[in-house]
Amino acid sequence: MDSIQIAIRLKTPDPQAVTALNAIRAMRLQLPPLKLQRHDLWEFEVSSGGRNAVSELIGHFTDIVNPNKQLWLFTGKDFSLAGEDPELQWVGIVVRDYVDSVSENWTDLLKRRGFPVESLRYSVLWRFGYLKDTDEALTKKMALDLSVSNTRAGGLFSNPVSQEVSFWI
Amino acid sequence: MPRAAVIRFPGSNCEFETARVLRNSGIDARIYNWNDIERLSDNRADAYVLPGGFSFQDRIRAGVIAARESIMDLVFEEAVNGKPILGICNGAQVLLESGLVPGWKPGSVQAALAGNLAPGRSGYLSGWIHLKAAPEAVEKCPWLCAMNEEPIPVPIAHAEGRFVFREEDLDRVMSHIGLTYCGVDGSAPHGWPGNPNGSLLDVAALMNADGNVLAMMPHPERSFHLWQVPPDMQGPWGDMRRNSSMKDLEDQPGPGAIIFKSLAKYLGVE
Repeated sequence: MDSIQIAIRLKTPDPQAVTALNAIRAMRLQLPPLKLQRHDLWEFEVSSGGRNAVSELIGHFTDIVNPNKQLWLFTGKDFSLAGEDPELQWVGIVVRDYVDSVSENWTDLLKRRGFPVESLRYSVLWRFGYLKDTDEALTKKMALDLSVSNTRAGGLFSNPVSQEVSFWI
Repeated sequence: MPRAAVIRFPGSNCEFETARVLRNSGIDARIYNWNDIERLSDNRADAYVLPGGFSFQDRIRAGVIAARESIMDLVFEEAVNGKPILGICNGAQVLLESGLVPGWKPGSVQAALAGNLAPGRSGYLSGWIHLKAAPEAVEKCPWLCAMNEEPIPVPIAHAEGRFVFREEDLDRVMSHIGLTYCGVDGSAPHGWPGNPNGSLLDVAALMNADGNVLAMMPHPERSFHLWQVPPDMQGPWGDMRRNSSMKDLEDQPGPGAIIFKSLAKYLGVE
């Protein structure tokens, strides 16, 4: 069984990321990120075929990746995107629903269509860009502070009652 | 004449019909933009409504950006002062993300409206469901005080309408339930389609402890008139719709009117 993860983003500036960055700036944090990226993250457990199987199924469903407006790539140690600012260091958080009908229904659909997918998990990756010389521990603390909306004025990216957050490594 | 403020965020799309049904219920309703704080602050209303729609395009999470807008400070203040506040659909999402509902610790986010959960379906759902009021809510909620035990059909239209609570809160949330999904005869829905989105405890509307703030996912403003009820609707409201003449249809109130008539009763409208 292979676990294959892909990240998807818009080719154009993502309005969600623009709005989120504006909201963060209004929060007057000690160290707001300079840039913010949003990606859909899909993690497939495939029984055979590895990355080829995932590439094939992506080609069948524009609901997962619409090539007219989105870019996608396999994630890994070398995860970076064309045009990404080399002067920045990135820290990422992954937001997932505890109960996620998107993942359940896509798993059923792909199995029915004969793809070698045992399960999949949909989540959202937010990446915060800081200057390279910024203290890494501080960037992680800032990301953590932003990650959970415990209060109306507090964090932003997840509702603690229905969603979980983890650092993306 | 009592006054109601309907607050429009960028992306709200139900403000006009909401204001209209309030006016039809004898309440002077005006629409205020989210950045029209000074005008609203100088002309405080007797009640406030956050209408349905897609505030800020539901970016990040439905309701979360609107919840941070400065105008919500005013709504927060009025809620604490006991003024009736209603959030419909996206307005309900804003109220939960504001921490006004359930409001055990006002300002803390203690419940969620998560993505719909239905067998074989994801995302946006629209259709008609039946609702019934919790007896305790009829006693203390200004938006439900004219209701009785009879179920009413009301439309829903949402992608994130599943009320979710922490397990340790399930007992105390019972006294905050305003409306629940039910069958046409008022019976428990036993899952989909009666409970269309997988809401815990079949909750369709949740209120704060005092009952003055109500977050409801269904759209009562879309069933204010009897002519809005589909002719093939089951139950007494469907019978009434089918048996009405064209003239009756023009004049007769629909099932959702009771929400606004409740407010009118609470505010002393004759």
